Amino acid sequence: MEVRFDRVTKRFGSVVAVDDVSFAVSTGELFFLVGPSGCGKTTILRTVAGFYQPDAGAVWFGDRKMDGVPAHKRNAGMVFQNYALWPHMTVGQNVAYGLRVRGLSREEVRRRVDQALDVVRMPGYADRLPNQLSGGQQQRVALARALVIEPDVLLFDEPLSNLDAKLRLEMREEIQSLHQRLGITTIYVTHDQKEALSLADRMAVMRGGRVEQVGSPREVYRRPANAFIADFIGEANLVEARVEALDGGGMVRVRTVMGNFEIPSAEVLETTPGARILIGMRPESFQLDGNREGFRGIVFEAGVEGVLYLGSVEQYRLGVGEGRVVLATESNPRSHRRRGARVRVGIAAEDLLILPKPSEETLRAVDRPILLLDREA
Amino acid sequence: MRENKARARRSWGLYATMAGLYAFLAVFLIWPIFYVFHQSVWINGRFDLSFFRLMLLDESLRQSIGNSFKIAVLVTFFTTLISLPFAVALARLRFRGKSLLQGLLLVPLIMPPFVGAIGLRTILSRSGSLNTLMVDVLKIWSQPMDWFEYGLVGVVLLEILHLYPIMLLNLTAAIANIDPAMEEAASNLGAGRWRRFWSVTFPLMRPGYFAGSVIVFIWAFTDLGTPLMFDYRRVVPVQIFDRVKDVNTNPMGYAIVVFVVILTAVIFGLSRWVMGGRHEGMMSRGHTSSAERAARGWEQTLLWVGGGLLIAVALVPHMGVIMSSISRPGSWFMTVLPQEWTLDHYRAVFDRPDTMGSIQNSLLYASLSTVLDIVIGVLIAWLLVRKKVPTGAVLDTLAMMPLALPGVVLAFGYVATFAGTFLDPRRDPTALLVIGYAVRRLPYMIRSAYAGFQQTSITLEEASANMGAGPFRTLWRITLPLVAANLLAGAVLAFSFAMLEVSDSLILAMQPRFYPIAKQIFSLYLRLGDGENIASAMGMLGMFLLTVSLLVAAKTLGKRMGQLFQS
Repeated sequence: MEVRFDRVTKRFGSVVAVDDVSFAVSTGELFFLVGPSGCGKTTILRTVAGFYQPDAGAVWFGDRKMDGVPAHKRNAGMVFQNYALWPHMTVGQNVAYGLRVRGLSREEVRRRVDQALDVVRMPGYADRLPNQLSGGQQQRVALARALVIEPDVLLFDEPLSNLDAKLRLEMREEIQSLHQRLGITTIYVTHDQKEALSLADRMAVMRGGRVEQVGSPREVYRRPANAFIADFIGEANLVEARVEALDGGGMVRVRTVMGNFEIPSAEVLETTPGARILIGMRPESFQLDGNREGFRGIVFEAGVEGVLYLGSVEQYRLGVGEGRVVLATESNPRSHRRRGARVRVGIAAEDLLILPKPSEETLRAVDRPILLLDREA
Repeated sequence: MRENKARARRSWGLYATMAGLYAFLAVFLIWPIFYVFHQSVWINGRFDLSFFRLMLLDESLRQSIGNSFKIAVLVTFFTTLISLPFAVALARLRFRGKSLLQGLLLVPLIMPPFVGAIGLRTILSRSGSLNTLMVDVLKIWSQPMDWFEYGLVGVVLLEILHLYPIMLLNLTAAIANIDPAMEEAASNLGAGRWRRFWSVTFPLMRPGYFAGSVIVFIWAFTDLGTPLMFDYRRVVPVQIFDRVKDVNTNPMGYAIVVFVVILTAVIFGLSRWVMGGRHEGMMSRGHTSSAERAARGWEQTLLWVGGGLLIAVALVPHMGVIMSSISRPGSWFMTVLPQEWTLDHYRAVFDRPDTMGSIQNSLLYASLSTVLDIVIGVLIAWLLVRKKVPTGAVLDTLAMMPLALPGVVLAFGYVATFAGTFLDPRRDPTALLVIGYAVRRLPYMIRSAYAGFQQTSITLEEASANMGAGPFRTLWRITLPLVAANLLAGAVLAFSFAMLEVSDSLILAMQPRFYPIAKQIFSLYLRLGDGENIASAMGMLGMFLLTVSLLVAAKTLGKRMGQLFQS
């Protein structure tokens, strides 16, 4: 079942929680809503579930407009953030609830409850009470309860946020394999960008009630639409650049504090010489002894100002002059560079994230300082 | 070495305090009940249940037990009926003036029903306002109704109007405590409104509902003042009251009291069992939505009209008291309103030595019992929250017991146990009245203090110690100021309840010079002439005091105020 948001707006009092949002989730897709808390992602999910009615615009399930359809008539299974398992019912009764409501026969209910508990790898737990289960087990039961009614769309509201880190990774994989097997259209809300990157078919990044970008994880990570996304999904050093010259071969030369880059003019919105643009550089794009062959990019000198050893990666704060600092990481670190060491750093032109000039609002949302070209004295 | 010594000294003080508290509760809470038990089954040096057999054989006692059950069941049923719709609305809807309506709905709780009884009797009697209005003025009825033929109607009516706020508080809290996601999950899986209520909401609010019902049931079963004012004597508490006088010669009183204690225990036990220790303890709440939604126009109208009607009806008895307190004796007979007004009765309250004396007595008893409550309540709460002392659960349970313990039981136990000792209430009831008031209201004080200590982070005290302040200085400069609001609220409640406390006062105060207000009102009421009017005037003064002090408590405690009346 396709789920479509058509210019939906939702207000609470004077607060606009969802602001003119449109997107479509195609049949069988695992779609993510990502954003910082208060960005409106949960409101969207609850609008799909029917707990909220939009103030403007419409939600569509396939070609059915869901205006005024109450929550209990939507067949949209939801996994709540705190699971919302009823403490006065056993696991079996919890899972059976939706089937009983639908008036299925006793044997049919039993069969499908057992089946659902099998699917989430909880067979034999039907007679337990929710309070006797661990967080991960409760999570599975909540999942079984939502799956058993064979929902048209499956909704996850930050389902993993109450689990510890290890369990979270485990459940992540399980949700993914379950989705691949069952192929139910799924909308998943999280503030954890890693969860979204690792699971999503496509994702919508939200801020302040608006969708800022929709795309596959790869697109969003490699081609973020603006500075906020570049910084929220993954990390990015934000560097100001000035257009120097436009050459005939479709390339633009831009100047930054680290040196001059040649980038394809098609990606730069404003190519008049003197225009200022913003460039994002992922910490892992830096090559710390980068002067290899066939390398198309720039190489600059930097001083190590701080080192954080994180096991799989080593994180450096590199000084590039006049107090400007960039973050760089090196994965699988073998050698160790001490504070004060000088390094040659390379970055390839193709790894640069070309960003539009940020609005004041975006600048406030990004807490990272921007490496400006000319510092005011 | 030095550290060990200090620790030893500290725990010495702690254990001494604990021992003192246990001793107090043992002597003034456990021992009287135990003594009554003992007297009821230990006859002529051996175990004998014949008093209970006699009790059940006695026609009038059987009737009394039946009547009390009838009252309690009716009151529980009707308070549920009245409260449930309001509770659902208050927990789930958002509208202008909600807290005002909530507050107004609770007002009848503070109006002592035995004072209201005076008003209700004058209004509903054969020749009272209602009959006169309906028969002579509006000519709707052809002849006057006799509402009090059995007394039962009046008692039940007053108890309902007095006790529904307790039910309302418990139900509202029970519903508000339900994680909204619980209901949303039911909707999400396809359950409609009714199915959702009966399969999810109601089961989840059941513990809170039972808790409220138990309090209301026992309260209605054991209330002494109201049936006494209606002269409806065939109920259990009045039967106990009548047997206090010959406590040494007639052992039947012991058997009835034991019956009430067992009944109370069984009901509490049953409610715990039905609530089931098996689940509950709601899981962590999701931090998403609020369960409240804006009320629709017609819902608001219905709420205000219904609530207004309820409050108006609940205050009718007290309107009667006001009018009775300002009407000239004999001028309110076969008329809707009194014919002649006067303020003489209020003047009389302050002029007469017996009324003035009873006010002074009550002030003395209530002040002393409040001081006692503060000391004991703060100590117990402090031990429970801050010291996590061993046997803390036992201490907590013991100190909370008075919530379930009917006043008549405790008072009867005091008279029986301390007869012939230096505390004998026949000689001078001051000590026992003070202690009785204090024990009965101790749970409120402990809860207030407990809440205060819990809300105050211990790190604030640790910070004080870290700055070099000793324990005493910390307590005085940091802890007490931080919990002062809670202590004040608890103390105000304890004081004002003690001022109008009924069952202890009626039973323990035997000589007129020791009468507290409640007993004075009762004895005035029995007197012909202007006795009833002066009693009304005193009742008004008492209710005024209660209202003011509860407003103070509500202001300081805010929303948590309601928690004091939940079990």
